[in-house]
Amino acid sequence: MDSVSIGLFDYIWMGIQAVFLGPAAFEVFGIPFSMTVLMTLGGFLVGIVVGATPGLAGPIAMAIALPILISIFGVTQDALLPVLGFLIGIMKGATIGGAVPAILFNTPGTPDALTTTYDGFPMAQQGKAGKALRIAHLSSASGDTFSDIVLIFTAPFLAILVERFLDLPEKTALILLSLSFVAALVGNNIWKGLIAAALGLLAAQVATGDEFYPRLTLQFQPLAGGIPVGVVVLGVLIVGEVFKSIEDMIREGASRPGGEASPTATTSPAAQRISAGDLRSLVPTMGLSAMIGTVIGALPGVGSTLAATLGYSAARLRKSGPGELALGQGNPRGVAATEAANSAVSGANLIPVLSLGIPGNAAAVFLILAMDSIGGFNPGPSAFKFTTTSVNTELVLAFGIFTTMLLANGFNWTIGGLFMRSVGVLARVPKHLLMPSVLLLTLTAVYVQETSMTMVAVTLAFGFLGYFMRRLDMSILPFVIAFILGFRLEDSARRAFEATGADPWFLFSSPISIALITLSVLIVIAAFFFPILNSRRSPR
Amino acid sequence: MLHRVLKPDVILGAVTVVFALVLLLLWIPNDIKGEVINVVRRRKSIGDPMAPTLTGILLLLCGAMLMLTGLARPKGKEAFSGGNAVFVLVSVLFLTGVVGVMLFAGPALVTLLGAAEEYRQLRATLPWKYVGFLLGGFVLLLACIGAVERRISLRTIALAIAVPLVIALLYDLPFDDTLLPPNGDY
Repeated sequence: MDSVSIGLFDYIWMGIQAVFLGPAAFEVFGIPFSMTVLMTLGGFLVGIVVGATPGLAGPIAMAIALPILISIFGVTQDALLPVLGFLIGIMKGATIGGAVPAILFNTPGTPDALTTTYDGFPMAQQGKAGKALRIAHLSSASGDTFSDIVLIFTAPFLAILVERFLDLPEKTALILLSLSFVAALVGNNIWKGLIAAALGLLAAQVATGDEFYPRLTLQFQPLAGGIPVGVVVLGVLIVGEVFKSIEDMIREGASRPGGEASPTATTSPAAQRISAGDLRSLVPTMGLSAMIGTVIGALPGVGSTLAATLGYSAARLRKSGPGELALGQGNPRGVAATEAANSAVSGANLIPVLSLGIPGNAAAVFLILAMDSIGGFNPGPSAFKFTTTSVNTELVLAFGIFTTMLLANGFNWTIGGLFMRSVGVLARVPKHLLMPSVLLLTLTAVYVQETSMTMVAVTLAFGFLGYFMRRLDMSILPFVIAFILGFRLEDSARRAFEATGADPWFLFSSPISIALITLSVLIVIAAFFFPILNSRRSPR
Repeated sequence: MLHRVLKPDVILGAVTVVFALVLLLLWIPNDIKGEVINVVRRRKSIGDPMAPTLTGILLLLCGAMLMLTGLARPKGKEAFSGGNAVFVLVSVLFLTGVVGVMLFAGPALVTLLGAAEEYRQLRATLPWKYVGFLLGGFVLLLACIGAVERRISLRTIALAIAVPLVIALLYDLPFDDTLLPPNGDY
């Protein structure tokens, strides 16, 4: 009997089928409608709403949504694509939604839309709000699509390279490199970044050792099973931000959000459209920004705000043409540069997630959290193991995730523009009403997962840690990423130590691991001596 | 005040150094079993104290570097003021109160009304399953919004009732086996 060989296209086809022919949400005239498609659409629309609401951001919505989604779908393999579809939809929608209040009210809905205000709001003041929103949408969808294509062609090959050339010592060194990279490039002080990363590692070490005795728990019984990932991540990322926001608002008093409104008077409908001439001017800017955003997105810890800033700075380098306004005065290229760059991050940030299992930003943390919670898909090289005699279900799911991302892109191109132009009113929702609601929702989400008020208290404690870190100008991301990677780092080091015959110098046992460790040290040294590397600079 | 004399980074560095020393000299030796390197039948393996010890050393070094570099830098803006400390203290007390209301409102009401059964038997039934969550949520939202607006308006009261109710229904209606706070603790 001939054995059937499974080819690459079979895997791609199975991934597409898993999305479109997976569990049905409902049937219309006997035709099933895929749950994953529905959830991706839902996540995308929620993302736009969240992005358009100043004070909320994609990661907050992802944090709140994840426990609810797990309650709905459970932790079976069928749950993975609908849940990831929803989260990916939020991630992509929030970026495009952030441009709405930036253009209409001079208030960035998300931090990465700050530079959109520089030209978007002046355009709105000139009566071209519709055109600015259309340009933001076109640029965002273009950057997003470009980034996804790069992800699809890069992640599998990177994973294969990692699997082929990296053994346990090199994988340990790679995690150390990622941590030093995040600590060095996020925030404005390398030592604070490293302290944050070390605290994250310490939190990950609580009750996770090999011995029967649960280490570092201070004999506090509820922690004997380790600190749940959701408790730490929601506490530090969301509750900490809520505490800081509430304190800021108490000091400043309630103010009507949304900044100044753009004038309602508009020019003719034709002036709100993007002409062929506009396109010719915008395409090079969008292309350059999409590339910048993709490269930045692929690096752990750097994020969409820096991508947007660099994209905008690159656009400023090109001189304005005759009759063209300078950047900062209502030039459409400013909007295009920012939106293409920040949206291009949302695909590329999955390159380290899917190929190495290393989260690069807060949104990626929640995707990894979802994968960990549901199971059945371990991001990293094993997911891309190409087997021809038996089906590697992880590879099918990987192509399913790619399909979901392209699906979200499709929604962005088709209904994204229309929907984003209709949610401007959300910029007027007062932040001081939102933040306490987010706090209660987050604590409820923790309780539903953990069913223990003690864990709610632990979440609040991590919230205060997040608050202190924000007040002391310490970055949260190195803490969170170190916490996520902490167990893998220790496990990888333990196994490498044993595999090399208890060689204490196992990190220096091969040229690749020596190179990775050297690079880690050089990054730290460079960040110390050239603080410009990790300072946040506004292009203005 | 100390923070007016020293720069914020120096204080943070010093606190980190002290924490690292406590971790290395007190916490790790007393709260972890095993050796840094375990040897069983001449086979060596990394023990549980290894990773925390290396983390402690990293904290110590970074804390010291933060102190040293902080001394060399011009004094920046105040990072953590007395006002922040008051906010933290009030928040801790307030949130302890909110958690307390959530935990004990239901059982207290059961006792007060002289119900035939204990709260544990009633925790998944109407209206008991909502009592703690709605009251705790009401206090949380009312106080937070009121503190920002510096007044309690009818809108605030309405929101403090509506938001917890919507969240409770969001979790309770679709899922049969979900327990709202604090019912899983009973």
